[in-house]
Formats: sequence, C-alpha cells, structure tokens
Amino acid sequence: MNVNPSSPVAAGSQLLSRRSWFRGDREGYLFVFPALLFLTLILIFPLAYAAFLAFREVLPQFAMKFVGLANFKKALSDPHFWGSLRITVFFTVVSVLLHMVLGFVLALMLSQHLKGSVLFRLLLLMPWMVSQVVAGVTWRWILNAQYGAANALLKKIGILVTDLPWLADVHLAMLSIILAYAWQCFPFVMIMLYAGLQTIPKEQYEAAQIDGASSLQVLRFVTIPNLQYVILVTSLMDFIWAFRAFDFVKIMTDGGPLRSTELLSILVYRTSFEYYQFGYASAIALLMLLIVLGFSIVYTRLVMPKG
Amino acid sequence: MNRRARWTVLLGIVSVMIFLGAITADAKVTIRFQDWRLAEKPAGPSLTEITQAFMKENPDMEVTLDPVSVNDKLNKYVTQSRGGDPPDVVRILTTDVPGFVEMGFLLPLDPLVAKAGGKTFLQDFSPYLVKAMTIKGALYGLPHEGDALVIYYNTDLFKKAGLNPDVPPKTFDEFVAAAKKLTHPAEGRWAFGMLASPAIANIWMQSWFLANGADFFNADYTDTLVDSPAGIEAFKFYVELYTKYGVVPPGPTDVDYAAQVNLFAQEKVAMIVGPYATYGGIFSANPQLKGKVKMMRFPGKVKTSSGRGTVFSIATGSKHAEEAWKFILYLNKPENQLKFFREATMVPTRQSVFKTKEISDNPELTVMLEAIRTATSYPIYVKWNEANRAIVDALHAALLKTKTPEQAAKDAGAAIRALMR
Repeated sequence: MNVNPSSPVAAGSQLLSRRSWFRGDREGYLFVFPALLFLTLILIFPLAYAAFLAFREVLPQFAMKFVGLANFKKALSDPHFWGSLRITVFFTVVSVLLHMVLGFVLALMLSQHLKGSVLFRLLLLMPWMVSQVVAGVTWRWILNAQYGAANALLKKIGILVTDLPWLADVHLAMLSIILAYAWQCFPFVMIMLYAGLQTIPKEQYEAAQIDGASSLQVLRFVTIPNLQYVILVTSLMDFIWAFRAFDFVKIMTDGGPLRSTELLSILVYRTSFEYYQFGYASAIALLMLLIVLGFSIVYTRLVMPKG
Repeated sequence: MNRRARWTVLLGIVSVMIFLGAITADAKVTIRFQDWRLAEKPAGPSLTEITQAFMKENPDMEVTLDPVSVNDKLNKYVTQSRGGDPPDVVRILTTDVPGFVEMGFLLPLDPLVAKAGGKTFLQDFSPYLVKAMTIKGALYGLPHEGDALVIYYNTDLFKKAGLNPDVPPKTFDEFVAAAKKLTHPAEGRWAFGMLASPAIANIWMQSWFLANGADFFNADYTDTLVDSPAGIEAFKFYVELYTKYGVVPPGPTDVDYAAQVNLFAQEKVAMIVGPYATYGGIFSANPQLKGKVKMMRFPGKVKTSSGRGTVFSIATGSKHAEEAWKFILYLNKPENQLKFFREATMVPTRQSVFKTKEISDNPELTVMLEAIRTATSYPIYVKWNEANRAIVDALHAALLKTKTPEQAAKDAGAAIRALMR
C-alpha cells in the first residue's frame, strides 16, 4: 500500500522509527556520555572560557569589561607577539624536520630486524617515557656552561677548548633546545613510522628487487608512497605538539636569554600569570589555535594523497 | 521483619549516620595553608611540626597543608583565586603582594592587627617589611621571615690572591681591583658568580643600584630611576664586571640561584650574592667550606642592600578569616620564628627575636643583622613583573653586547615609563 509521505500516517511512522532509533542507540549514548562529559570539562569549557576572556579586559577586583577586538588588535601590533611567533615557527619547523628525519632513519634501521633490535628499540623509546619537566631539568644541568657534562665531555675528547654557554647565548640557546627537544620527541615519530613500515607488503619490495631497483629507488617508489598517510598524521601531530611546546623551554631557558627562546606558549603564560592580563593572554592563545587549525587544514589538503 | 521493612530500617540507619557525620564535620573549622616552603627541606618539616602543635592547642581547628612548588606558587594562587577556591592562609613574596592587592586577591589585615595590639604589635616586626606591605594605607601581609642580601666570600681564595679577608672591598673600584686578583680563567676560577637568569636577576642587581645611591623606582613609584645618572653608573659597573673586566664566568644569563651556590661551593667563584639561607646552602653543597666563608656588605657610597622577605596573607575568598589570622599569629609567635630560624635558617622578622642571645650573640649573623637594619625593600610595585621584564631585557642586552649599558638602561627606563602611563 502506498502511503502519502505528507500524511499523518507517514509522519507518525517516521516519528516512531526515530524513537526506536533513539531507543536502539540509547545504550551507546549512555556509554559515551562519561567520556563526552570529561571532554567537555577539560576541552570545550576551557576553550569557550578562553574565547569569552579574549574579548574582555579583566580588571581589578574580578570585574570584566567587554573590549571587542581590542586584545587581538593589541597582539597584532605588539612586537613581542610577532617576535615570539617568528621564534615559534622556526622552532616548530626545524624540530619537526629533525624528528621526521631522525625517526625515519631509525625506523628503517629497526625494521632490518638485526640482532639486538628489540633491546635497541626499547632504549630508543626511553626518552619519550621521561616527563618533559624531568627532561628539561636534566638537559639544563647537562648544558650548564661551567659544570655541565656536555662541555666536560667535549673538552675531554678535544672538540672544545673553552666552555660553550649553551643556554646563555642567543643563538646557541635555541639550537640547544631544539636538539634536546629532538632527543625527547623523535621516539614517537620513530615508532609510528616503524609500525607503518611493517604494513608494507613484502611483495612490493620483491617486485622492485626483481625489476633491479636500487635502494634509493626502493625508498622513493615503494617505502615512502606506502607511508604517506603515516607521515602526514605523524608530522601533523608533531607540528601541533611542537607549536604549543611549553614545559621543556620554560624549564631550560624560561624564554631567555633576551627572549631568544620565548615561544608563544611562554608569552601566553607570562602575560596571564605574571602580568595578570588574562584577556590579552587569551587572545594570543586563540590566535595560536587559529594558526594551528589553519596550518592543519592547508597541510592536510596539500599532502593528502589524491584519490 | 519483611523485606520492605528491612530496607526501610537500613535506609534510616544510613541517613542518621550521614546526618551525624555532617554535624561532626561542621564542628571543626578547617583552613587551608598554602606555602612553597612546605615542599622544601628543612623548612617543610619545621612548618609541619608548628602546624601540628597549633592543631593540638586548638582542637576545634584543622589546618590542611597545601605545599606548592616554588615555580608554580604564583600561577597556582592566581588560578585558585580566580576560580573562587583560594587557600585561607598563603605565604607570598613581598614583590607579588601589590599585584595580588590590585586584583583583589588579598584581605586587608588592619582590623585583625588592631585586635592583636595595633601599632604596638606591628612595631615588633622589621620596619622595612611592614612599610612594604602597607599598600594604600592598609596592611596586606604579616612578615614571617626576611633578611637582606649580602655578598658571601671565600676567605681561603682571598688569602691565596693576596687579599686580606678581614678587610673586604668598600668601593666599586676596590671591588674590581680585588676581583681581578681573584680571577684565573685558565684554572676555571673567577671572582664573582653573577646571577642573571631572568627569575631573580634584578633582585640580585638591585643592591648595586642601592649602594650607588640609586634604585629601580623613586619613593612613591611614580618614576623609574633605572636610567638616572647614578642608576646608569651602577648598571654599567655591574655589566662591565662581565663584559670588560672578565671577572664573571661565561654564561651569566643562565646562572640561577642553585647554579651560583654550586659555583661557590665548588670554589669556581670567590664571591656570590645571597640572603641568609645561602649560608646553609653553601655548606650543604660543600661542608668543607665551613669556617672559610664570610659575609660582607655591598661596596659603594651608601650602606644599604635589598631587603627581601615573605609574608603570610589571608585570601579574599577565605570563609574563616578569624581562624586564618589565629593561625598566622601562631606561626609568627617569637618562639616559632626562632624555631624556624634554628631549623630552616630563615631569619625572623620580629625585633624581640633578634634580641635573643641565640641571634644577637651569633658572630655569623653580625653582618646580616647590620644589613637588615639598613635594608631597602625589594620593589613593591603593582606592575613589578612587567617592569622586571624590561630591566631583565636591558641586563641581558648589555651582557650579550647587543646594546651598550647606557642604551639598554635608557630603553628600560622608557619601557617602564610607558607602563606607568
């Protein structure tokens, strides 16, 4: 029997099917509700509150005044904001490149399944298991100009004659942080790429071998194309983490010397907790979010394999 | 008894228990005490013992200890205050008080001080600290421990350099002359361990300004003196210890408090600046230095130095201000300040405690007590953190030679005046 879609009967049966659809999925919603609630509390609420503060000036005695886009205009005309943005972009780009290259090389070595590779894999993963604060404190002592292990070792083997001020020189400080950060972060990239390498069908390598491809050609035409998605996801995650890095740099240099390592995250922290400019700090934080979002969208579209 | 009746009885018992529990819980007043010293040794155990003694004497009160790391103390208190859940009693650095007062995070203590004896009561506390904590006519913190910065020097290294350790330098020129004799870079030894890591670099530098008759601000904080002639002279002298005379080890911008104490303990430097706690820190790091370390006043035209201190304050959101004050008074009892001094080497702030034999007859404290008597407080300025950043930038720019000391000081002056507008 044909039912007129606009008839009450049709409407009633649609309502019934929606209800039974809800009833059917009710248990599912109940199961995900705690996680959704948790996500709302730790992610959505702070984000919404930061957005709320970004359009306000927080005054003494907890008062707030709506200032529209004033905080954003202030950021865009603040030389410290642009300085920190430049430093953050430099730190992020160099760090991600370093992590990807180092991680890829080590992943390739691990996938050779040589003797001792299990132990080697465990040792290589250890930096990632250490908390950023502990790693930052440790590296700070290693790189101390007067009694750090780095200078002592390099002088002992004859590479250095005098102590280098690793964290006290405007150029060396950033380099030192990038290297120390790479020590901590490359294991994640390595393990992701290693896992990706295990999924590449052996037949493709065999076919390449039969066709007489060199190692470099195998890498270029077999390995890397098969790892495109893994490379995309891993590099994007690494970019996001590096862009918002905080603990490591705060512990090692606190943004110094002379603001040469003052990342945007440290500027946000300083602006809110030292200068009590919560509205302005929230505006900078939102700008950071927009930059990361914008980059993620553009990067994904550019790098995503077609088809 | 049927099943329904059994459940009713059980529910009734549980309800009565909850009700009784609620009544019992309300009978004791609980206050929260936040202090970064609770997380330090030996200060933490000493404070814990004093707190337990307080609770024993006041069975109707409970004090929950809330230790916080020294690096997180600022952001934790700010976050909790903005979130409406601050501790009742909090230890604060004097430099942080104006900003907290401006934000409305602290309760004025005057009505409570009046009940404790008013001016007579306050007169027993270090004047420079009481003055510093009186903001817009109201007192916002009761001083607990405080002292002044002095220069610690290694008498052995002085003797090896042909200097008389009983006659320390009294002028800037004498200081440089002595420092040159104490510096042997080839042997990895320098005269002065300069602390220029951002967190407290300026506090450590302020004493040199004061000794030259300058300061960072004028008396009523309406102008900065960083770029005054005396200020520039002091700043230039300080920077040139590193850039011109080479009597400071490489990388001062990375030297923090712990690093400078280590440098001194390892006898890589002959002199460092520090409060009284540095004395104990040096011997903890190297017990063999006992008997080889003395204190001296800052050389210069004026006999004064930076006076530091911490105070106990009550948060604006505290629901138990009277009880919080009772606890603060207990912590500040003369015998408890003396106990804290004995166990944690933190100098008391009560004049009556200074008069005890343990302190007045202690030869190790002679120079320190003199410094406290003539101390000038750390800057107590509402926008100190931002001004501090401008001065640190100037210091680093001059040390790293990206600007001349004169230009760096002038730029800092301009930045601070822009803040003041």
